[in-house]
Amino acid sequence: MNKRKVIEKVMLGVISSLAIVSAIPIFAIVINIYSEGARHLTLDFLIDLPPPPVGGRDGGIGPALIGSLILTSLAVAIGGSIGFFTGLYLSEFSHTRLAQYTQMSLQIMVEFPTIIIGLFAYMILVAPLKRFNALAGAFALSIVIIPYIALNVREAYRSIPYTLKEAAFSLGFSAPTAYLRILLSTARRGVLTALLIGMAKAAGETAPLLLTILGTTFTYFGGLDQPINAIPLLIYNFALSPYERWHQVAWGAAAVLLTIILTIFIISRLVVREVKI
Amino acid sequence: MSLKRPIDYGLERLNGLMSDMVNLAGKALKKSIESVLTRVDNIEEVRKMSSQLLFMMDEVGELAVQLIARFQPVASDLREIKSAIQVSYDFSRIGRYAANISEIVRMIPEGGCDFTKVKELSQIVLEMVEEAGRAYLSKDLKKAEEVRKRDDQVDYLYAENIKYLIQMGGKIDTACLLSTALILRYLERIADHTCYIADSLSYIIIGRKQ
Amino acid sequence: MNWAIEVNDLNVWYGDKHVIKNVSFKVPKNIIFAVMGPSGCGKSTLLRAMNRLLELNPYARVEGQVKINGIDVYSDNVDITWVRRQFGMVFQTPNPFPHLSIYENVALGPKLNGLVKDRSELDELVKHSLQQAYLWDEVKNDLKKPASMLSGGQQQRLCIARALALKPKIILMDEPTANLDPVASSKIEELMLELKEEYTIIIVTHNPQQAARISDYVAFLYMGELIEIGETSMVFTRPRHVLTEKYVVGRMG
Repeated sequence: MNKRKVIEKVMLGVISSLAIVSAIPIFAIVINIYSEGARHLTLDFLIDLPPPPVGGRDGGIGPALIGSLILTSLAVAIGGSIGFFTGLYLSEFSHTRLAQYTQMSLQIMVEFPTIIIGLFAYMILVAPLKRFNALAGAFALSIVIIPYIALNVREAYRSIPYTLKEAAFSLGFSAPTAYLRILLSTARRGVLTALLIGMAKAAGETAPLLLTILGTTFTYFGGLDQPINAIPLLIYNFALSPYERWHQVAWGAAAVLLTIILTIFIISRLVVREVKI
Repeated sequence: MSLKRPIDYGLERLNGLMSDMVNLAGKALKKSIESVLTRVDNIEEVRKMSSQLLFMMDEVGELAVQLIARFQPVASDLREIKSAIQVSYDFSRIGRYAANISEIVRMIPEGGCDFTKVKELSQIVLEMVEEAGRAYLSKDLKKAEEVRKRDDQVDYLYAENIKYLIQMGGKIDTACLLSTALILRYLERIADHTCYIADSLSYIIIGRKQ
Repeated sequence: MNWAIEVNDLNVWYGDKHVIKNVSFKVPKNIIFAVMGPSGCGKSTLLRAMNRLLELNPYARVEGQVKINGIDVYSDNVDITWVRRQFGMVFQTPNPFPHLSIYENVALGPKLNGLVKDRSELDELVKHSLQQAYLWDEVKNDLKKPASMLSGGQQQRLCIARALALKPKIILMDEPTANLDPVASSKIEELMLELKEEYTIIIVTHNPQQAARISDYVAFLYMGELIEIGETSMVFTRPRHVLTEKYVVGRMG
């Protein structure tokens, strides 16, 4: 075997090892979290109020789960609709100044430190109401996911072959019908994926929640203008506490959150079948 | 899918023109022979038909060239178009000879002539012209073969009749002698052209003259 | 005189680039009208200027008139979606909607444009359109299958059926056989010869032989200008302009 082949094989070996190395973390995390937290995945755990630091029942993450559901739904509703239409605009009107500036802004915002977004939400919605509230949390989460959804929806629409766009318009459809009924069907995988991943982000982001929702642990839902809890925030608070019992709850919550994220991911791959062009 | 090829529309037009020529050539010949045998002057009419046939020959040529320019015909399509050019010429010649025959009427003397030989040969040749036309339009190789066979008969009769005229020499009126000889000659030429038509049909169907 | 379409002094710019220069012609009804010319001469632009599909391109600017039945499609009070429905358009690459079934592809236009009253009328319209496109027999048992399963030639006939379903007066074809194999191409050409009984067909082609085969009238476009227009047999036997002659005999470029 000559020198060139040896070098090729070595390089192939190095690259393959690096690929494996980069895939290790996700497996390590999943194994780690489930080994500590899977035992807590019971129905009671999902519904119950959190336990006291010592003594009493084992408890659960009920309020945090409800809180996460509410915040995520609100964030996706607001962020998803704004993000979708923004993405559509960026794709189909990319020649306008507005589109160009907006796109640049969104590309910056995607990388924004989310704690700053939380701080902004604090100023806008927490300070005037003089208390932490769910709306501020949903607001912050929306801002976090809008750029992501908009840019991905833009890509989804941009990847539609131009000839399909011509076909849709040549049939005499108005712009709303063409973009929202026909072309949306063609781009649906990309759009739905964008929304689902946006949902996953909203469910998992912690920093935007730190300064907005407080993380009340004992009420299920008091109203949008009241504090609320969410799973990531609960994990943060309980993990930092000195109580072993709360550490356990944190592991359980982590397992729940991981399951939610993985489920969303699997759904987004399976449910929307590839649109073959 | 039973759709027509683009060239089929053109070939149909070509066939239509050829069919018209077949009919007109037959009519012209019939008229000219009739006028000689009945001593009625139809020269103008037959001449008109002959000019018409000439015009149609040009039309066929023009159409053939357009078909070649537009459709890049190959194989039997191409042979059909080439043959149409030649056969239209043959029919135009038949028309010309028919006009020549009709002009003989003015040569016939007062007393008339004995045209029995002419009548016999003209009958055969007229049938050959009609047969050749039908064979060409229906692409019938067998019919064309029969036309060729009859040409042998025509050649024989023609030779015999000329010999006879030479023998009869002074016993026949000079005008009648010449009229008969000329008509026989024209008929013999017409028969030759029907053979050429049969040859062209062969060329279309099997790619070579028989 | 009843023209299917009249184009008067049409000019098109892409930004500063003048791509269609003062083009005028009239197209009679129920014929195949071919527009031929070398690549980049503006033929596809010309076609899209007719059904105003050009306006999907934000950099395109149009001046001039395109009249169908006496109505200028560019006048202010004309609804652009109405204009587009007067035309059926078939594109160079067959582009059926891939996520829809064969049936749905044809039914989409009439359904969303409110052309039919009920399901049975729609079924009838779909069947008739597929028959007109000579595709019905091949797909009648597979109407629910996705359109992407058809061969290229079948997909193109499906696109023709889709265009016919809206009952346009004029069919615009942008190099419809350029991406098909020869057998599929001849099927499409033969289909066009039948369709001209009912419709007026305007076809853009980069292949002068195709224009020679199927068109009744042909226009030669070169660098955005209309060089020659006339009956096909005349243009291909005795072209008037030296550029036309060069193009058809293959000595251009």
